This record gives sequence, structure tokens and C-alpha cells, in this order.
Amino acid sequence: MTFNIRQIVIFFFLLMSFIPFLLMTDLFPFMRFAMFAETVRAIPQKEFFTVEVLNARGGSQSLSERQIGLDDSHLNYLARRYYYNGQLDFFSTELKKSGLLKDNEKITVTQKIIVNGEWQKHVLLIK
Amino acid sequence: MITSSFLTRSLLYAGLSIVLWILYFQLLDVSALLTHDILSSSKANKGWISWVHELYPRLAVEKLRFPESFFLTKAHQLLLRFTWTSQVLLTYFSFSVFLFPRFKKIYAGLFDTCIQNKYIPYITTLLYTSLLLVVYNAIIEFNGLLYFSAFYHPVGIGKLLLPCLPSLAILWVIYGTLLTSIATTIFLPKKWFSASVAALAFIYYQLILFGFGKYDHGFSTLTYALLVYPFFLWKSEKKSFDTTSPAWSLVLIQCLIALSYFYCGIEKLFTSGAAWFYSDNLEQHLLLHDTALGLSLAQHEVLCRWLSFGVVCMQCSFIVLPFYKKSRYVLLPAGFIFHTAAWLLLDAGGWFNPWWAMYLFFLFPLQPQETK
Repeated sequence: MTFNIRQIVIFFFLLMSFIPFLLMTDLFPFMRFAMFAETVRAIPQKEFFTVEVLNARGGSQSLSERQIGLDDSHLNYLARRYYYNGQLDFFSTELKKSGLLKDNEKITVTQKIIVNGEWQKHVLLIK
Repeated sequence: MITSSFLTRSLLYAGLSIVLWILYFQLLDVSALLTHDILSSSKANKGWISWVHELYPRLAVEKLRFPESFFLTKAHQLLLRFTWTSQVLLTYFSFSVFLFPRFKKIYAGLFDTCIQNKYIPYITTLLYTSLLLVVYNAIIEFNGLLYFSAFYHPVGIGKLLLPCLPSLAILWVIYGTLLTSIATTIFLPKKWFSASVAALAFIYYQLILFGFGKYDHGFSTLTYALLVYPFFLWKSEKKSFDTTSPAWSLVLIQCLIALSYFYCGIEKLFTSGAAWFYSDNLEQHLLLHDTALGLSLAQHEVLCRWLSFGVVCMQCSFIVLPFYKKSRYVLLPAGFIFHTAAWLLLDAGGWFNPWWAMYLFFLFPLQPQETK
């Protein structure tokens, strides 16, 4: 049996596009396409983390609006990771070290979570 | 007419299928035990559990968030997918080899196509202009990300290719390489090498973004097209064909795009079943994403259910696109409307979505390759 480049390329790409579905994980650059696949109610703990900047007058603005290269979904993932690893303090310190905040501004991390079908807000940190 | 050998083969196929599903039910208990082992062990553990953590990088955080039953459902799902895949493979071989040999006709010759050379500059320009629209402001993103290098945690091949966040100078090199390779692919006559460089630079661009925690599926079909397209250019530039070039790689791109939609559809069916469309799921998603249009649509319960059902049907139907060309007249507009609606209603993606941009591979006619 002989194989040419065409057969190898076709087989490789078709196989690799299937494996993320089979293993239920992303194998970059081959992705699992599970966006919105779970019903909202099936997720045991639906939550979002927001990272905002508080100014001296009490006004707030999402950190992502400051052209930092990270959008709200990135910040959600990062805040969640550091929160569950008990490193939220490190997270906010690093954000403050970035130099993107003025002296009188503070970082606030908020967790929005569904409890018994109702959204609740928990401010986890103001620094 | 049903012959005795056909009957024997059919019985063999049915018997093997039954064995497969008995095995599935027997292994459910084993998967529960393995799940418990994985959850009760730390990441530092050596052996197969560390490989599980490599494969599922979010497991370390998610086991702090969710109960064991959540992971048990995932383990059962994994087992179901392996069994389902085995069943599909068994059916494929049974049908095409010893039950219905004519079944092969559906896909035989799918890749034996060619395209007129006059279309190649249009495809190339459209593809690499789409890439340009995605990456033109990458250096601004890179500049911002440099402030947060402490948060950079590469996963998968990122650990090998970009173990730490590069310096600004290197990021400028990646950005410059991206733009130069796009320009040279569009404007220079020999394109396959610069097209390969563009694909590699785009992979690096994504690895940098993904190192900050979130994989973006919006680039998937564009990435597939960029990885395969250099093979097309290489073949078309290798020999001086008169008027046509072999188009197997373009058909492969079509298949990968179609499969991407198909996986989106069956992921929903595997993960949530009919609850994905026969429940208040879309309304809940619309309420969560909190856009003005989405909130007004969420008021219409029946419409939401039909729209959800339509999305799953549309995504699963994309699989027929490479086989039945006429389906593009329905599926491509439906796909475009779907992505635009997802942007307006769920704030997913932007006005320009690389998924619909890649429909360009269905716009140019392919013809059967002449056999010599």
C-alpha cells in the first residue's frame, strides 16, 4: 500500500478535527466546538467574574475598556482561576503593578452567581 | 433479493453492535471509579492521572467548583462518545465493504476535483484579507498583554512553542512576519512559502492570546483554511497546469468547515439532548447576555424554541455541503444569519466573523478532475 501527500494530509486533518469531539477537549489548533452546548440550567454553578476599576468618586469602569489586550471573557477566566486557587490577592496586585491604574483608583473583583434561579452579586475584593 | 450470505453478514453486524453496547454499559461503573481516582488525586501525581490533567488543563480549577456528579456525567459522556464512534466506524465498514458496496458512491471521487486557475487570485486575496482583518491590531493587544505576563500560562503545544511570554521586540517580529507574509501571499507570484509562514505566525498569535486562559473558537475555520491552503498553492505552483489546478485541498477545507458546524450541532445533542431546544435554554442565554434585542426576543417563548431547533438542524445539516453543492444556497445564508444574530443577540463575536468569511471556499466552482 502506498501513500501520497494528498492521502496523508486529508487523513491527518479529518482525524485531528474529530479527536477534540471524541476526547471533549481542545487540542489547539484543533478545537472542540462546545460553545453554548450545555443548557444554562444544567450547569451546577453558573457564574461570571467581572474586574472593574473604581475611581475616587465611586464611579466604575470595566478594566477591559482600557485597551489592555484582555477582554471581559479573558478577565472572567483569569479571575475565576485565581479565586478558586485562593490567589485573588496576587491577581489584584499584578493588575495594579501593570501601571494602567491611577494612584486614586482601585481594583474590584465581583462574582455574579445564580442561587436558586436568582442572580446574586458578591464583591470579592476591593484593593 | 436477500441472499443467505447477506443475511449472515447482517447478523454479524447486528451481533457486533450489541456486544459494543453491552461493553458500554459494563464500563459505566469502571468510569465512575476512575473519575473518583482522578478527583481525589493531586496534579503532582505521576502516571496516567498527570496525563489527564495535561489533556484537561481546567480540571484543577473545575474540581474546586463542581461536585463529583458533574465529572461523572462527563466521564459517562466520554464513554458514550467512544462507543458511538466505534458504532459509526463499524457501520461504515459494514455498509461500504460487505453490505451495500454502492454506499461508497456517495463519497467516491469527492477529492478528485480541480479548479480553474483564474479563480485562484480571488480566493487567495479574500482569504488573506480576512486574516488581515483579524490581526491588523494585534500589536496593540500584545502591548497590553505585556503588562500581565504574570498571568501567562501556556497549555498544550503552547508549552513547547511559547513557554513564556516573548519580549516586545519578539512580539513585533511576530506581528511584522504576519503582515509581511499576508502581503507577499497576496501580491507575489510564488505564494506557498509565505502562505505557510502566515499560517505559522497566526498560530503563534493565537497561542499568545490563549496563554491567558481562554481559547477562542472564532478563529477555528480560518485556522484550518490557513493550514491547508499552502498545500493547494504548492500543488498549483509546482507544475505549470494549463487552465486548472488540483483542488483536493480546497475540498478538504470545505469538509473541515462543514465538520466544524456539524460538531457544533452534535455537541449540543450529545451534551444536552432535546433540552437544548425543548426548554427555556435560549431564553436563559438571552437573559444572561443582557442585550436589548436579546431581552426582547426572550419574551417570545415559542419563537425561542423554534429558533433553537433551527440552529441545531442548520449546524448538523452542514455535513452535506461538500457532497451536495446546491445545499449552499440554503445553508450559507442560514449560517450568515446565525452568526449575525449571535453577535446582535448574545454579543458573541463581532460584525466580521471569520466563520462566514470562510464561506468563500464554497463560492467558486470546482469541476471533476480529468483522468489521464
